[in-house]
Amino acid sequence: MILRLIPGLVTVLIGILLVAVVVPNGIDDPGFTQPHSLAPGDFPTHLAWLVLITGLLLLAFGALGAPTEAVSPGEIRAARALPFAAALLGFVLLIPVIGIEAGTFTFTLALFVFTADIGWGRGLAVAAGFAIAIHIIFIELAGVPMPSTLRLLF
Amino acid sequence: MEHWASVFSMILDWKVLIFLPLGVIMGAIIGAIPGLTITMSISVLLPFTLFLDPLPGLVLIFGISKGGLFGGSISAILLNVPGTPAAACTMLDGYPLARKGRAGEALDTALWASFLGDLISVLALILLAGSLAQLGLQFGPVELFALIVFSLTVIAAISTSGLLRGIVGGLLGLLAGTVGLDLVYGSERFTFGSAHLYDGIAFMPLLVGLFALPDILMFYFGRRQPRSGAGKLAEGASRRLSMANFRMVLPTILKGGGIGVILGAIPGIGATASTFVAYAEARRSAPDREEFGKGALSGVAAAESANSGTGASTLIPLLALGIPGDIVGAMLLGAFYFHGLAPGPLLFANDMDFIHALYITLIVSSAIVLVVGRYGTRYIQRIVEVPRDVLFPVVLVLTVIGAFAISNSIFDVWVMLVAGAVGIGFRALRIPEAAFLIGFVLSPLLENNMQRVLIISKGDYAAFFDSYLALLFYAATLVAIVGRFAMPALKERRLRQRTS
Repeated sequence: MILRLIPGLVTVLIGILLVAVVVPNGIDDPGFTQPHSLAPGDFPTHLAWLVLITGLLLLAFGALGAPTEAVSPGEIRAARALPFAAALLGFVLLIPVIGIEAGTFTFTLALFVFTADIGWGRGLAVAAGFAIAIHIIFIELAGVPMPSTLRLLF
Repeated sequence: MEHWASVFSMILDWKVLIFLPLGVIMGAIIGAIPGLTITMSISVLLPFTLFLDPLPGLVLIFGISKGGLFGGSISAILLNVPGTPAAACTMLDGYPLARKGRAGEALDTALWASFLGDLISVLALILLAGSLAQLGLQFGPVELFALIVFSLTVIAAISTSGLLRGIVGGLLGLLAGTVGLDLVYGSERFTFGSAHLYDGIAFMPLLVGLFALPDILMFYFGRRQPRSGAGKLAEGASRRLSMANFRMVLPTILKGGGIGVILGAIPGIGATASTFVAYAEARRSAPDREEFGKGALSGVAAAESANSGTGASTLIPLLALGIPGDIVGAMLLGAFYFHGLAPGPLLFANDMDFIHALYITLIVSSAIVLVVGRYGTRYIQRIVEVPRDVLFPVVLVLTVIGAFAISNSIFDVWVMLVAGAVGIGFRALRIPEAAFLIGFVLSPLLENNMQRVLIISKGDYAAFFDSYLALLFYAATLVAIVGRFAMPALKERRLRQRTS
C-alpha cells in the first residue's frame, strides 16, 4: 500500500516546496509589469500549483488502489556505490588540478582494475591508450580548452 | 540553379562526406551493443557536434539514429538480446530463425526492411513537412499554445508509466525551462545568485545527465554483474535472403513502413509502439503467419520496417512546426537551436537550401545503412561482445568531457551529475524523462505564446479558445486524456468477456 503512495507523496512534497518556498523566493520582482501580461512569476506559479494538484491526484489514485509498479531505481549496494561515487567525484574535482589526461588515466584504470576483470596489465594499457586518445582528439585536434596534464607539466 | 548549387556545395563539404557514413556506422555499432542506447549515445556525442557546422553536426546525429535503428536488430537476432527497446519485437522471430541456422536470412530481412522503411519515411518527410510548414505559417499564438499543450499531453498520455506521471514529468520540465533571466523583464528566476544560470539550465549537460548517466550509475551502484558477453553467436549468419522470400516479405515491409510513418509522425508514439502495431498487423495478414513466434521472416520484416519507418517521420512535426515528437526530436531541437537554426515554418521560408541539403543527406544515409548492413554486420557482431564494464568507463569520461567542452565550465559537469541523480530519481518514481525533456525545450515557447495571447487580448483568457484550429487541438488533447483513462477499463472488460 505504502509503495503505491510514494510517487504521489513525493510529488505533493515537491509541489508544496515549489508553491511555498522555491517560487516565492526564487523570482525577482521587476517592480512594474505591463497591464494584461504575465509577470515573471506568473507562469512558474501556475506550473507549481499544477504540480501540487497532479501530485494530489497521483496520491488519490495510489490510495484508491490503481495499479502501480514497485518504486525502486534498482538494487543499490553501498559497498560498490560509495567507492564509485567517491571515485567519480574525485575525478571531476581533480580535472582542474591534474589535467584531463592524468584524471582519465587514473579513473579508468581504477574502474578497469576494480570493476572489470581485465587485470592490471591490460587495464594499464587500455587506460593509457584511452588517455592518449583523449589528448590527441580533444585537446590537439578539436582544440577543447580543457586543463591538460601535458600542458600543466610542460 | 543558384539554389541547387548552394545545396550541393553544402552536401559536398568533406565534413558531411565523412560524418554521414561515420554516424551510420557508429549508430549500427552502438545500436547492436546491449546496454548502450541510441539516446544515451546521442546525448554523449551531441556536445561534440556543436563544434561542427550545422549540417555535418546534424548529419552525424541523424546517422547515429538511423544506424542505431538497424543495429538494434543485430543483437536481437543473433543473441536474443534487443540492442534497443524497439528491437524487442524483432527478437520474437529473429532469434528463432537464427536458432534454425537462418540468421543470415533474418539479418538480410531486417536490413532490407530497415532500408525500405527508412526510405518510405524520408519520402513522407519530404512530401509532408513542406505542406505542414505552410499550414504552420497560418498559426498564431493561440494555435501554437494549443499545439504545445496537445503535444505535451499526448507525450504524457502515451507514456508507459501513466498519464499523471507523464504530466508531472512535463510540468517539472516546463518549470526547469523557466530558470534564468525572464525574457520580457530580465528578472532573475531560480538563479539564486549564480551567474552560471542566467541563460538557464544548460541543455546539453542536462541531456547527458538525464539520459546517459542513470544507466551507467546504476550499473556501478548495483550488484556486480557477470560479464554480459555476447556468448556464442548464432550459426548460419552467412546465408542470404532468396528472391522468392524477398517477394514474400515485401508487402509486409511496405505496410510496416507505412505504419511506422503514420505513428512516428504523431508526437509521443515513437518506434517501440509502432513495431508492435506492425507486428500485430503482419501476424494477421502475412503469408507465413503460421510461423509467427517460431521464426517468421515477415515478423522480422514488419518489426524492422515499422521501426525504421518512424526514423524520419518523427522529424515531420519537428521540422515543420518546431514541435519534437520524441526524445531524439527534443535532442535535435536543442542541437538546431545551438547552431542558430529554429525549426518551424520560418526555417522552410528562409533556409530552403539547408532543408533540401538535409533531405538529400537523409536519402543518402538510407543507402549507407544498406551498405553498412550488407558488408559490416560480420564486424559489428564482434564489437557487440565488448562487455559493459569495459565500455562504461570510456563512456563516462566522454560524458564529463562533453559536458565540460560546451562552455569550458566545470559548473556544467556538476549540472550533468545532478541531472544524473535526478534521472535516477525519475526512474525510481517512474516519471518519464522524455516528458521532462520535451517540457524543458518547449517551456519558453509555451510561455512566450501565452504572453502574446494575453497581451493581444488584453488579458482575456477566452482568447485561448478563439480559433477553430486551437479548439481542434484542445479536443484532441481531451480525447488523449479520456482515452488513456478509458483504455485499461476497456481492456479489462474485453478480457472478462473472453474469459466468461
